[in-house]
Amino acid sequence: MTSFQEFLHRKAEEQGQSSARERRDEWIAAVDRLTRQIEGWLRESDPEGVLDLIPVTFDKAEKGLGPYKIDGLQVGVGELSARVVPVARNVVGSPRIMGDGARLAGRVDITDGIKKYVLRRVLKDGSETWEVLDDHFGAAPFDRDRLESILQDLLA
Amino acid sequence: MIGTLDEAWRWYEAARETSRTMARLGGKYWDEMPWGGALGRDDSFRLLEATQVEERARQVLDDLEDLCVLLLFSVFEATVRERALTDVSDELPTLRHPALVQAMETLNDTISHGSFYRVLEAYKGLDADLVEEVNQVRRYRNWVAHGRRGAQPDNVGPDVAYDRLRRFLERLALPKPR
Repeated sequence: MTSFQEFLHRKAEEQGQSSARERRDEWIAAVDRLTRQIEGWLRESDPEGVLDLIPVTFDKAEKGLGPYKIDGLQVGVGELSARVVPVARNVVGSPRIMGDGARLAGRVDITDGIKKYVLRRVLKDGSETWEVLDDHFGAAPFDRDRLESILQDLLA
Repeated sequence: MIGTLDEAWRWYEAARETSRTMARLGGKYWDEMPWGGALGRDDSFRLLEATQVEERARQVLDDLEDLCVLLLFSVFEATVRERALTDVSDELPTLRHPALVQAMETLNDTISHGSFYRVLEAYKGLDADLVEEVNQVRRYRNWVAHGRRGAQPDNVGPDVAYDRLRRFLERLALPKPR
């Protein structure tokens, strides 16, 4: 191993790079699952393909994760569009659903730039679910019906 | 005039709703407004384009959540410092010895202008968990206040900031917002 490689290994260890990379990859995969789920629901709800579904990439940098690129989604019809925007893996607060033992592990917004619905990733006992907060910070599980009502609101 | 957490929260809600209304007006209804009458002669409106109205409203909304956290924490910090000064003043007798007077002035100066992190640390004996919850808000506020440069700390939404800061003030048995 060259001295430069040794230097890089030492720095990576100092910076906790391997755990940061794991957290980052885990978060990117979680958002990927979410956007695939949304795409799947929309393909079922919109079999004629009226909606345009376009991947959008965001540059992020979070403490404990470092800089990373992550994909969201743009959902459009004509000139109207809403975006699924990954906000952060590390989020302060407590889940409103799933009860004791659940913890927050990420935030993704669905927004048209004017109104915003906040999706929060909730982990409990190894399982993952998403809750959605409305304008008055009321929470509900995120499902296909909820997605449709959000898009009806944002694309109105 | 915003002097309490509740007033800061009401400002946030008003700014958000007003901006949304303007964005909607600009985005959907601007061309349908009765421009032939007084509205069309009002300089505040007649030179505005629909896209300008919508774009400005979007600019406000883009940063509003973080500005709300910033505002809430500023109000909170001022309230806690003020309360600490009052508590110290109430608990200490009138000081005469010059050394004690000077020490008191230094203490007051630290509470008024020193590190707020240190001021908060003093309350750890009261509720260490809650102090840490507030510190998470403080760290996010600092990141916003310094231009959101560098890696983002744990994300804090306005609702979470409002809830934590309000609970801290209640824990201190401070008067409820004016």
